[in-house]
Amino acid sequence: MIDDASTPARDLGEDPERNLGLELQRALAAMGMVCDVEVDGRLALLVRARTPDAPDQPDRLQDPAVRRELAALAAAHGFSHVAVELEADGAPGHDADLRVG
Amino acid sequence: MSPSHPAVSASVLDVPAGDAPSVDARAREARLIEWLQAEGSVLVGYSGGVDSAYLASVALQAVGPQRMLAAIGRSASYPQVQWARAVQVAQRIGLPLVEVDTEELQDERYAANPTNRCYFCKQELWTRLTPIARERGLAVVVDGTNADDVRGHRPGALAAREQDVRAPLAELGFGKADIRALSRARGLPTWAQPASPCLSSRIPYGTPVTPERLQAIERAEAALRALGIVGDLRVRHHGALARVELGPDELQLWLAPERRARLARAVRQAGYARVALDLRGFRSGSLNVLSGVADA
Repeated sequence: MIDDASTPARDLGEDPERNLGLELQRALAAMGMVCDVEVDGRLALLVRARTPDAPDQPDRLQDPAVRRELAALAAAHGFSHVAVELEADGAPGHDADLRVG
Repeated sequence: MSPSHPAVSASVLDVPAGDAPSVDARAREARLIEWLQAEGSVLVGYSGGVDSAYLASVALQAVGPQRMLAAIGRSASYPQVQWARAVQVAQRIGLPLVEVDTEELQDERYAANPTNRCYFCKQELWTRLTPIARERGLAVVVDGTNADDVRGHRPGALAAREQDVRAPLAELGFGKADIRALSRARGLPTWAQPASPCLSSRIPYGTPVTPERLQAIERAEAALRALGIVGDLRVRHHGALARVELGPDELQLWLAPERRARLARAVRQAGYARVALDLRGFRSGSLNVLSGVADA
């Protein structure tokens, strides 16, 4: 399910889907990509981290090699799809539940 | 349904020069003509896509306009722009055409969006079209399924078989590449058209298909086309989030800062609160993979 991924990475024990997202979030941070990860089944959604001055990641994603690396990392964590949220006019849509609509 | 035709640019109907079909492809086409002539008359399930437009064109050549009919099934899952293009192509090549409204969305088995959703859609379609063939004395009903399609997850094919709908392109071994090359040689404007499955295919299995969701998807894809995006394009529905899949070149282009903001604005204006770009880009059957009914 889609989580509020602003929660800092921590072990949530019984929620394997969320844990996979948090593990991917940590792995991304290790490659220098600081972002939150929301999960919907096998979709990993990268969103701007809700921390002060969090960078907008899509600039790095213009590099096809980075995209390939990221997709491989996501696949290694069990995700068949990885997408990055786009902001319009600097406004991310964090607050909208992906399951509504 | 509105009787007006949304604008289809003239360039869509242009047919650039290209490579000739292979000898094998030409031979297949000759066998297809023989097959159709042996049947004598035919109703073609026609969507205006690459396959059905080609099949209808060959049928017109093989048996003539008095013995063939192209039939469009229209519903909220059939994009307006595709319908407009289908009608224009039919007019351009002289296809006798009939349009029938289908009501698969009223079928709760379809609307629940199970993994065999396409079965219920095709069951409804062929239940509407086969009586027309009988009334008009047409010997056989055919669709544009090709040999490449047979390998995928295609529950709709079962509904076709149950109603004796034939798939001569698949039966005679036509692959998509053959059909594109032969379409180009015939001067069909559809030859390079991207595949355009029904709008319901953008909604993950298990998420109910509703007219409102289909309309939001259609608006979002139309808005992206209006930005100039060409080639493969899908807006995948994930509740409030639209996940956009683009072909490789377009993905590279639209990750640029100014463009991605424009893309996000366009999709938001179409009704989605959140917008994401899929980093692997367009994948046919992407939601089958997401749902686990096909391999990644």
